[in-house]
Amino acid sequence: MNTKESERYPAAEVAEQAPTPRFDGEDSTEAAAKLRVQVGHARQVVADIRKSQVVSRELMQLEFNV
Amino acid sequence: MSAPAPPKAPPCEVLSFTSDHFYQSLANEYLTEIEVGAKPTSAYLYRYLTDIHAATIVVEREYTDGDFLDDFSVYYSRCFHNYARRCSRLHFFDAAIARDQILAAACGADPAQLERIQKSYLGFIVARPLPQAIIGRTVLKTYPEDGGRRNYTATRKYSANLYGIELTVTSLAFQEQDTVLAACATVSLWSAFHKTKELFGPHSPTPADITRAANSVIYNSRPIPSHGLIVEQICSAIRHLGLEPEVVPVMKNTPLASLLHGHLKAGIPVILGIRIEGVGLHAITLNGYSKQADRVRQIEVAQGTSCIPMTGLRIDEFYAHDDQIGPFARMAVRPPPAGSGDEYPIVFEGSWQDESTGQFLTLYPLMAILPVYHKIRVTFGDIQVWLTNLHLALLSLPKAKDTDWEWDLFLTTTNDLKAAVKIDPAFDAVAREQIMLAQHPRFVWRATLRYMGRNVLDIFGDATGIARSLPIYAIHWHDDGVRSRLHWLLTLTAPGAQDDLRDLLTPNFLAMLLESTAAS
Repeated sequence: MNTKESERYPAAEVAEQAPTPRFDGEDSTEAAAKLRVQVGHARQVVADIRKSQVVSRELMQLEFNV
Repeated sequence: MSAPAPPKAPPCEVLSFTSDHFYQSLANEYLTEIEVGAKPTSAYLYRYLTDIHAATIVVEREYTDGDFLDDFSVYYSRCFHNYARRCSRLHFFDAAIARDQILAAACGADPAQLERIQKSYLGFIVARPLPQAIIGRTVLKTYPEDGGRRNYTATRKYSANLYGIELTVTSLAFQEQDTVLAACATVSLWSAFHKTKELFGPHSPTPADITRAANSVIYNSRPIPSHGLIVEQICSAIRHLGLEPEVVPVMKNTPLASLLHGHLKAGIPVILGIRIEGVGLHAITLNGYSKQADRVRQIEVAQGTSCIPMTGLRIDEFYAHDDQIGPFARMAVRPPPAGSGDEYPIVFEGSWQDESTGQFLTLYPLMAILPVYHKIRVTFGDIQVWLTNLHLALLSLPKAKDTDWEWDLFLTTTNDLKAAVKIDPAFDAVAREQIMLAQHPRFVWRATLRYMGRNVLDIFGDATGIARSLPIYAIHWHDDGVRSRLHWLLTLTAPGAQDDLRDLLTPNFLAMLLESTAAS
């Protein structure tokens, strides 16, 4: 395959690292609450992605003729 | 009896590149140079060649073109009118070259001249001896990369031999539809197959072959003269080559720019089905994209729908072979216009204009058709689902902002993956060695996560596997901060957190992520 994309990898991209986090109990509660919300959100988003991939019969009959 | 005289060689015409010379060279007994100049495709090609600094035209007369010869034998030879079977081929150079210099190089008398001619080669156009569709096989050099912004990935190397001079150019073949043997979709497939031949084999068929293959399973109207193809026929032509057609409908939540980029980056050309405002349905071949350093839009799906932030947010243009415009035609990515009912994630603006007002017309994407190797079974959308779940877990981290992250999801091969990792400084020596020594699937989905502009994570997915049973087989972290934050989240002991994580990520993916994020 041709992956000759000319984008370069700047060395600076790996030079800086995010600091190791210091999370406390309050953060844990907040993260757990956010996680609960994201589970519900994910179900909907994933269902929409799967639905969007279904190819209808009508779509297969479209004629390109310009 | 004396031996027959050798055939008389056609003249070697060397001209400076001007509009008059260009249109004269394309003209034939049916079309004057003024009529040629009035054709949109010819005018586009003149502008294109001017932009890539064409300086000299060499006209090769009595040229036998394989594609036209097949069209000729199937159709034109059986017309009452006596059409010619030979074409002219116009070669272009970005240096001023005299006739004597061409001849000296051709006859081996001047090696320095030969090198200069080869270096200045821009490609060729086959001029067909027809009343309308005169632009035959066209292979022209692409625009320059512009600092890495422009990427013409669905291209390959072509060779041309002019009077014994070996010339090469990297491009993708283009031609105009003749509406006899080829409609827009046929020509679009023909261009795409020039690239898939290099990627997957086995060969690149002629337009007449494609029309025959498209009509071998289903036909709504007589196949020849050909006025159009339905999607099923396009798929049939792709299957006929031993490839699989993957049809992706464009819905309001389709991250279209990222999806196109994810295949084009692997060099796979994309047949894009579009509706041209007020004109009709048209098929074009996408072959490249322009990627900016920063985001050019905040969302790549329609309002009211949701998608993880992906590379498509940085893409401002695609490049397409549009048989009624020309090769490598620019398609600017635009938000859907007001009143389009939020049915489209993005739309395009190209060179199509309203004939009465001169305003550029909106091009609405309907579907992407991907001619892929049969072993590529896991789709972009399949991997997008897994990344979406992981992304939403990352967003549960304290202070996490959606705009800080970007996923680059693209298809690659085991060989290209190793070649890329070898020069990617994000991988440390241990990871690099591990990847080099490991066996990988032939086709791999690679997802690189950028956090605030830095590459922090690489995920490899088996494109030959099964979508629903975790196609992800390797995870490589490049950033200890992000890795340890995710590990903290994955090991949360708050009530219900572990159930939610299993629900969101599935037990297998959760276990894999836990192992990869644990401190070494």
